[in-house]
Amino acid sequence: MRSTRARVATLLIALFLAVFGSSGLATWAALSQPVDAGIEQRLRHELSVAERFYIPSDPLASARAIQARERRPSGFEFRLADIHNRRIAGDLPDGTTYAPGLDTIETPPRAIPNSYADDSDEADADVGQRIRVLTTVLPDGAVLTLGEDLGRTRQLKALFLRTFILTSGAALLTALALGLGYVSRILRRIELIGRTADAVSGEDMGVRAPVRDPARGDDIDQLAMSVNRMLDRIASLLQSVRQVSDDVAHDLRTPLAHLKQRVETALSGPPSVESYRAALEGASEKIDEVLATFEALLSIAQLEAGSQTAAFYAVDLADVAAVVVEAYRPSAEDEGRQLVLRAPRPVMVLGQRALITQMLANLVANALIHTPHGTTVEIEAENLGATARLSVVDDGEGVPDAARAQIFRRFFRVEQSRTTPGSGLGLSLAAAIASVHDAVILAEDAAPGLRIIVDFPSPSEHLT
Amino acid sequence: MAAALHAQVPSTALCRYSKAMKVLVVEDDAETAAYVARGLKEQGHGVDIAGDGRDGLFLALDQSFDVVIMDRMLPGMDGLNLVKSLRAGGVETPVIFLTALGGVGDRVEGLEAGADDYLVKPFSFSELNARVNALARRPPFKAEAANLEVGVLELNRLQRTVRLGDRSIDLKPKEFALLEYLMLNVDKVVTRTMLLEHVWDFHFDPKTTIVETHISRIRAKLEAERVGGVRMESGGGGPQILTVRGAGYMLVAD
Repeated sequence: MRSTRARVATLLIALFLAVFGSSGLATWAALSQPVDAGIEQRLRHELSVAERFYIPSDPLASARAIQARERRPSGFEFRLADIHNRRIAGDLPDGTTYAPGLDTIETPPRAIPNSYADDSDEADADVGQRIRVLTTVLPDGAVLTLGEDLGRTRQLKALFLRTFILTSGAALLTALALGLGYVSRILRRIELIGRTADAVSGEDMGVRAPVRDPARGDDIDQLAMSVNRMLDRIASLLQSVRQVSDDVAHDLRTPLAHLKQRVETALSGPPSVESYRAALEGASEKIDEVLATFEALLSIAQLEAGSQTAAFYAVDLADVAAVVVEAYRPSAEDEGRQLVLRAPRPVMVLGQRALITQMLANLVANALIHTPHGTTVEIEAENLGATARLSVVDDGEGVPDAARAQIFRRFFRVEQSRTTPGSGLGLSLAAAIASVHDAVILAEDAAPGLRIIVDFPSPSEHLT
Repeated sequence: MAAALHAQVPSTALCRYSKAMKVLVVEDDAETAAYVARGLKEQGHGVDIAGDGRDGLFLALDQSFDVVIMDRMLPGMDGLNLVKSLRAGGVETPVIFLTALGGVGDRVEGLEAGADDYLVKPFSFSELNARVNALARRPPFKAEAANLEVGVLELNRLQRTVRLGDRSIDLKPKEFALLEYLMLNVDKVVTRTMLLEHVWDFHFDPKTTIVETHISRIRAKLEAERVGGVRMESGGGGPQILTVRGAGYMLVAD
């Protein structure tokens, strides 16, 4: 993150220097030419005026007039010399021959008093001045020269340069501060997301990246929300894995302990083929029991982890109900229970037929196993508009309210004595299958008896 | 009489008149491979074992087998690819997958790759053996045969009628499907799981006596007609469904 800031700052400065440098040079060039042209124009104008002041019969009076005129604040330096280049009046230095026309002369240091002393520094005067001069030869042969100290324009340029550097410097600093501030804010938010990930990889699974405005969701918020969604998924997977290991510890250990006891009892008793055979048969049964529980746990875990990703197809709940009822009816009738099917019309949902069949079979088997003889179990499939409902209702003894709330929990059994067969996983598996299909599973009091409802979301119109 | 009809046969007699077969076992777990091979040899079959997918492919392409039993997860070459390669190479030997992956998607994937049957680990040998026998290329009937006959028991698959001698037997649809499957596998043991899968398309434990109840209903219907006076040409008991203890059921002609 630090290096990102340094990189952004360097980039900003470089970009700034490039833009301001090139625009400064362009301005400089554009500015210089008109200034130089302006000097020449003013010199010519002034010289033509001064020529008119000149009276050949009285050079001295003429010189005084010119001097008076050029004393004005916008006046020029001048020099009036006779035909032999002897100075009559004026401040321009003597050392050069003033040829007619434009020229630029260098004065030796402090050759002329600097009229702009308040603005220029000492060093400037020490190196002398550059003066732009325009010379003309008057009708009597006298030579009149007007000069403009280029120091004035240089100062103008210097002023421009200073202003330019000051403003661009200020702009650079402002942009740098704003840019770095903005980048820092973004980086800080990214850092927070990173810190969230670090915290999660530590211990605290509950931490989530801060989201400023979930509704508007700028790029950083989108990132934070994606990270949070991923963390939610990981948390639920972890929870599922933990649940499985808890369950394994809780409910697989007991039958395994029984198994070990049986084997040890047989081994410690008198050796006989009969007792060994009985022990082995018992052990084999126990192992089947453990394997069935294991299988059910694994299926639930796989369903919850979403690893059963086979495609969904249109499934007719009425048809599934008919198949399941037909399969269970003979054995139910043999035990004095009635199975009633109420599914006159097709009820379409999207899902995996094999899983939905297994779910309904579990619900029906559950109703048959846990109800007294003479019970009627009704299996119904119906369209309720927004949902498609599958329900299994019995008129048995029902389940107390407190127990009903926990009925879909793993290994939960209404009778803790565990005299009736079953692993306590059938309804949990049904719930897991319902959840894969985004269906809502509920246990209600059927007064008397128990009603289990599974509400599937109805598929879009064209399927029904 | 009932006792005689429902006579249980010991589980060692898993398949009557079983002919020796040549079976290829492709399995990287030596213990499982040895367990399967020993069981098959006790049944009188010849067994070759390949420890990884490449050896398995080589053997299966090189020699002719009656059945291939292969693990789905193999070193060298994954079981799915192995089956696909075999099928691509024109080898139509029936393949049974053994796998620790028991989900719906996994099963479909395996069968789509070209396997013929699918058994989730851990499995009992009797279950595997029943499936091997069912798959072996010794069909008593042509697959498309309209009429199945076992002794005096006759089943017409087009008209969906069943006759015992000259008496018609009225079966419900699932009873018919169950008897049909038993007849297609006459003299072979079919397990409860095989019946659940083929007759009901149930790939889970239904937790109640679905199969047992249906079998006993069919037996009762056969019995009623027998009592009704079907003359047995052979003098024996006629076709009956035997319970094979710890394994499943077997339809025999007499």
